[in-house]
This record gives sequence, structure tokens and C-alpha cells, in this order.
Amino acid sequence: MSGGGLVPADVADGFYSPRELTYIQPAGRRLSDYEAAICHVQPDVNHYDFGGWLLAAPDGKSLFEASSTRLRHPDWFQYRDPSSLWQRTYMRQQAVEERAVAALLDSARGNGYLADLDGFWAREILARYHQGYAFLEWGLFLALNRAIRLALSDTLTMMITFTAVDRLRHQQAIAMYGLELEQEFDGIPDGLGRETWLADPAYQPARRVVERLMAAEDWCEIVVVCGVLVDPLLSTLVGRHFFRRFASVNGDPVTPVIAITAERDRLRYLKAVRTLMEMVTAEADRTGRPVPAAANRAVLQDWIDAWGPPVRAAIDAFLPVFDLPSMRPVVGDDARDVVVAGCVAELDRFDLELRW
Amino acid sequence: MRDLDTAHARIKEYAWEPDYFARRPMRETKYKIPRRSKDPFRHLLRDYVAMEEEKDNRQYGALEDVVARTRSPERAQHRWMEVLKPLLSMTTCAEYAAVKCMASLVDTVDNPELRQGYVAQMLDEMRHTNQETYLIRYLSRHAPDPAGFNSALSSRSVNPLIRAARGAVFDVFLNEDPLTCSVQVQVVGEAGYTNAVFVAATEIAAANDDPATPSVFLNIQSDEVRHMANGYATLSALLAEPDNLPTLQRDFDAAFWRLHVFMDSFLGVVYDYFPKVRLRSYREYWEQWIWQDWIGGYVERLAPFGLEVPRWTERIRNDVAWGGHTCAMLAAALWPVHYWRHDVMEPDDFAYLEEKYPGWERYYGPFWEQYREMADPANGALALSLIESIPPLCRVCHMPTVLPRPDLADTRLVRDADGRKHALCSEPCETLFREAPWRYQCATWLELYDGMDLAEYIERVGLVRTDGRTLVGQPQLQTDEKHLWTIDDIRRLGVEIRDPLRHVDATTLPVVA
Repeated sequence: MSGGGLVPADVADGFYSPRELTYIQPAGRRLSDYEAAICHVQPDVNHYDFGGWLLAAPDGKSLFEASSTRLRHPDWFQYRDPSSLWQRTYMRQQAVEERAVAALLDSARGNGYLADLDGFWAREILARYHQGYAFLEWGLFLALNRAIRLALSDTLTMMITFTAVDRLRHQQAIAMYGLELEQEFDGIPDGLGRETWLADPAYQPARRVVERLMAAEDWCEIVVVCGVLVDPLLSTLVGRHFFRRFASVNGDPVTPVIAITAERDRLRYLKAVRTLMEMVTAEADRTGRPVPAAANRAVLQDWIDAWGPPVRAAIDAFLPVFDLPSMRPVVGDDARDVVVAGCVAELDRFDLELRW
Repeated sequence: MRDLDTAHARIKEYAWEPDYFARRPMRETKYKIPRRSKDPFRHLLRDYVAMEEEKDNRQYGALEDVVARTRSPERAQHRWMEVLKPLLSMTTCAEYAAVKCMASLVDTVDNPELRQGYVAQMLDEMRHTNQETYLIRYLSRHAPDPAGFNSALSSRSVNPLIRAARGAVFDVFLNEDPLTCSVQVQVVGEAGYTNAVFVAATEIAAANDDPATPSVFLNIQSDEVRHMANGYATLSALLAEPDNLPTLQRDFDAAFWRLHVFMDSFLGVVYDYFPKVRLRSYREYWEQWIWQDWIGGYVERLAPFGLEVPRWTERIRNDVAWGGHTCAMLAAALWPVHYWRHDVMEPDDFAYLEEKYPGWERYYGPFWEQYREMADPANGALALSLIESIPPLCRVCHMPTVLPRPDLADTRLVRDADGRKHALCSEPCETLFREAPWRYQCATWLELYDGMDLAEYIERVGLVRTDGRTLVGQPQLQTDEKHLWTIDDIRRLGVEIRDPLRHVDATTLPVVA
């Protein structure tokens, strides 16, 4: 009576059952590899896990709380990361980025390119401000990490996980380059980056923003503020308009590549956050249930109002650093105008304003 | 990098003590954690992504190219393939819980060495989650019977037995003090049980002509070894503070019990009842991986630091002999509500089980004899009728309160101050319940569906195949229409799901304050 190995004729293909996952409602016409990899791995009492959680926390709390964010949505599981990255594709992408940086570092070291760096750039800018910038990346990692635990769906959790790890990768890439430079340039003392991050006036407002984000408890607030304010204004001003653009003219071939890989990650994140904001400001979800769009938009505007001024202070404080290198491809104020215009345009998509 | 030690040290130097805004962890811990300790992972992300990319290429390459082209999942033993449905839906749940558990640890544990380990593990766990869902979809496409693979992550939630898995490997992995979760996930789950899951399942799968599962599981297990190092580093850090010891011992005791009570019964069913080609019994695997390697090699080495072997270990060791068999019998009796087919036992199965578990035939043989008779719908009887009733489910672990064996069970029934009735499967679960009854208020499967017609339940949770009649669950592996149970067969029998607690007079039960 028992079946052994296959006797193909015995088994109708599919045996009255679809050969595709049935528990996922695809966002498009067909289930994607990305959706199959992540959708509904997170148990949820509003989907399939009827009857509640089997264990309350010692303080009586549930595993996931709708109150973990001020934004409301009838079904956070409908979120889809527009990059469609899952672990395999993410890992492949990051391995490519890291190989590029590592190969460049090898060449730079092997061919003596590092000796061509402007001495002031290496000792005063990279050792202090670039290394200081790695602290900002670490802080963003720690802030986003909190959102990983609290996020109310698996697709959001995975997107935030990759974003947090991006920041760690950037931090480590800068740290590794710093070590190379210390070996190349005698007399760069260890710890200049920390000193700069903790005490230099150019970074104190940025540190204030990052520390506040590290202490934030609303996971959507962390995700949104990082995605539409900190990244487009602060990280783009410092990472792109300062380090990437200034490095080339100061004989530094490595910093631009690190910066470009980070920019690619930030752009991916911006699109992911945009999708989240579209989801919470839509009038209805995918199944037609109402979304409190107006209330959510008000929450988003609250966050922008609360975080805009400190982020502005952070970018303004950094502007004097634009005047330090001997070779200057761009004026700080012009770079500031560019990043502010970009941020305003992004917020305008959602009828939100940068009021500062 | 020229000097890896320097590089590893350098990347950990970017944390700082905030001045502008005080940061409180999401969840405070009751443990004291030293600010510095030994680095268990020592990976740069640069090395990590290169290593994992290569491992991904090997695994996905094997599945996409070789296994699919040779149509090898179709040649695997059908009985073995059935049990991958609940097995993979359980492991996926655990892996994903571990992602969030690691995030929680990173948030709470202000120690750069431990944090580096947790971050890498967090990525690993997301990797394993995706690998296992990939395998589930892969088997939906290629296995002889896709039913149950294609619904694995929804069906797991409503299954009376697999629902308990969520308690053991999701809720408990997350909804505690983060360091308590670390003990649960890393110290007991990974160091204790992953070999019993991933290594044992790999060799059994290979012996049963299933090449897909080993490709994924061995790949995963290569990461688990590092996670065990994470758990050990966490334990060492906690043991460095003598004040932690009593709390740690309590957490350790509870963690082993909570994982055992589901996992050992479940794995007993998986390894003793589903392979056609058998290698070792679950008890033999348990003796090797849990008793000798984990208790003997890992836990006992901690004795000089004051940590003792978990409190209920001797009991657990005894229970392993029978828990899986009782669970298998119940699971088989409940076959209509499963998303897998539960095969009959053949004479060679009887001989094997009696040899490995002397006395098995006396306790379980009659059930399996009659189960075989009742497998044919023409006989018009459900195996459920072979047991007196579905036993009450434990309020703490949600497992049936007849473990390890009905005649050995120490079930207790109690009521709380509000008069609500609770079944508790054992002294350990009662101990946990009495510590904090408010934490265990979730309705059991029997309470949720008490009074519902079985056929209605089956239809409601989607356990009918696309022809609209044939059930997903079957009490054998036949595919001939005349041997297949349909919803009409169930409807005809008019079976009602009954919670045996329904008619127990609450006033007769002892009160738990």
C-alpha cells in the first residue's frame, strides 16, 4: 500500500494541486522569486496565525505591536521592495561592490597611487572627516537595526535589514581605507576620526541627529527620516558632494569608489522608502480597504517638521569643511542648494513640505 | 588588508557613548553584560559577502542545474518527501525568528565583540530563511505531490501539532529578555539541536534519494557552526558576571525544556516514521547529538563556571524514548487536518521500531495495525476513532497532554482566578505557567475549533485539493482515485472537533493564583 520510489504513471502532474505557492498574493501577475523568498515567513495573527500569540512578553506585550509606529496601514504585508532584492541577489550585489573597492585598494597599494594623494587631503580631511563620517554610518546602522526587530511585516524587515547592513559595509570600507592610509602616511595618529566625530563643530549637529535617531522608538520614523531627510540631505552632501567630488581632484582614487557604492545603496533605499510612503498615503490598500492616508500624511509631515531643522543644522555645520582642501571642485553653498532641491522634490511627490 | 587582526579590531572602534540623546534599548535585560569580551566571529563584511556569494552559487547552482535537470525530486522516496512539508515550514519559522532575535541583541547588548557576531548571524539567518523558502517553492514545483509544499507557510499556522512549533521556535525566540532569547536560540537551539535537524535530516534525505534537501541543509549547517560560537561567546560573557548565574540557570532550564517538548517529539516523528530507507532511530541521533555532544561536550564544560546541566535533563532523556511515538500516533489519527500525507507502517517498519524501541509493538502496534485497515475510505472509519479523544493541549507548550506516553503522562488540570481551565502537560510546563500565568493566555487549537464539524474545518483552512473533493491529507500514499479520501467521506462520518476540557467542571480543579 505504501509508495516507494516514483512510478511516474501513478501520479498525475500536480496531483490536484498547483505547482506554485498558494499563500502569497503576488503584487504583479505572477509570483516573483523575491516574493517567494520572503512573503509570509513572519507569522501574523491577522493573516494565518489565528488565535493570538502563544507567549506574551514578561511585561504582557505582544510580539508585534501596531503602536510601534504612528503610521497605520491595514496590511503591512502588502509592502514590496521595488529593488526585489532577496538574500542571494543582495549578497551578489554587495560582493560585486566590495570586490571593486578591494581590487582598487590592491591596485592603489601595489602601484603606489596612495603616495600621489594630496598630503593635506590624506592627513586632515580623510583621517579626520572621512573617518568621522564612518561613525555616522555606524550610528545609522544601529538606528535601522531597531526597525528590523519592530517592523510589522517580513518584506519590510528584509528591506530594512539590507539597508542597515549597507551602512555597516560603508563604515567598514571607510575604516579599512583609513588603515591603509595610516600605513602609507607616517604620523597619522589613530583616533582622529573619533575625535572629529565627538568634538569637531562640523560634525556635532550631525552627531545630534544620529544620536536622536539611535534613540528613536518608532520604527517607521527611523526608516522615513533616514530615507527622505538624513540620506538625501546630510549623507548626500557629505558623501557625494564633498568626499566623492573632492577626492578625485585631490589625487584620491579610492574614496570616490567607496562613495559611489554607498550612493547606489542610498538610491535603492530612497526608492524603497518612497514605496513605503506611497503605501501609507494611498487611499486604499491592494484589496480596497481604506488607508488613513490623511492621518498618515500628517504624521509624515510632523516627522519632517521635527527632524528638518536639526538636519539643516547638520548640513550647515559641515559646509566650512568644503573650504578646507586646497583643490575645491564645488562650493559648499551650491552643493547645499542641490541637495535641498532634491529633498524638496522628493517630498513634493507626497504633498509634504520641508519647512525650516 | 595587510593585517587582519588590526582590521578586525579597527571596525569595532566606531561605537560611541551618546551625549545628546540618551538611548534606551527596546528591551532591557536583567543580565549584567561586560563591555568587552572575545570576538566570536572575526569577519569583515568584505570577506563575508564573498564567502556567502560563493556558497550561494554552489547551492542554488546545484538545485537549478543538476537536480532540476535530472528530475531527481521525483525519484525521492515519497514518504520522506511528505514530512519535508511540516519540517521546512517549522525551520523557516525558526530562522526568521532568529533574524529579529539578533536585531534585538544588537540593540540591547552594548559590547562590540558580541555585536559583530550578532550582525553576521542576522544576515545568515535571513540567508537561511530565503534558502528554505526557495526549497519549499522548488519542491512545490518538482516534488511528486506539491500539495502542502505550496501552502506550507499558511497551513503550518492552523495545524494542531505544528502550531506548537511557533510557540517553541518563534514566540519563545523573540518575546523575552533578548539574552534569554539568546540562550534559547544560540545555546540550546543552535548548539543543541541544529545538528539533530540539519545533519541528521541531510543523511536521511540522501539515503532516501532526495538530493535537494542535503544541498540546502548542509549549506546552512556550515553557518550554524559559527552561530554556536556566538552562543558560547554570549554564555562566556554572561558567566563572567557571577550575579548572572541564578538567572542564567533558570533561563537555561526553561530553554531546554521548551525546545525539547516540541522538537524531540516532532523529530521523533520525522526520523522514525517517514524514511523508507532508515539509518538510525531518533533516539540514537538524540544520544549522539544532544546527550553526548551537547550535554557531554558543551554543557558540562561550563560546570567549572557554575552552570549546571539543565534541571529537567534526566526526564527529557527518558521521555525521548516514547514522545515521538505518541506524537506519531496522534498525528496519524489526525491525518485529515494535515498538509502532508501520513503513510501506513509496513511490517519492516514494525520490526525496525520494535528493535530500536523495545516494547513499541505492545504500546503502538495495535494502533498502526488498525490504522492500516482504516486507510481505505471504503471501510468508512477514521483512525481518529482509535483514540479515546484528542487529548487536551497544554496551555504552555500547546502539545498534546499525553506525552511521553499516555500511561506515563503527568497531565494536570488547573483553573485560574477567573475560572478559566488550563491543561498542563507536565511539571516543567506547570512550573513555567505558575511563574507568570498571564504570559500563557493564547487559546489552544482545540479551544479555537471546539464544536466545529471536521469537514467544515478542512474546507475552511483549505485542505481540499483543486478538484474540490480530494483531501490534501491522506492516511497513505496511494494515488489511485479509489483509495483517496474526499471531503464527502469526511462529511458522511459527521465528526465534531471536541475539546475534552469542555465538559470538565472548573470548580473541581485546583486554582493557580
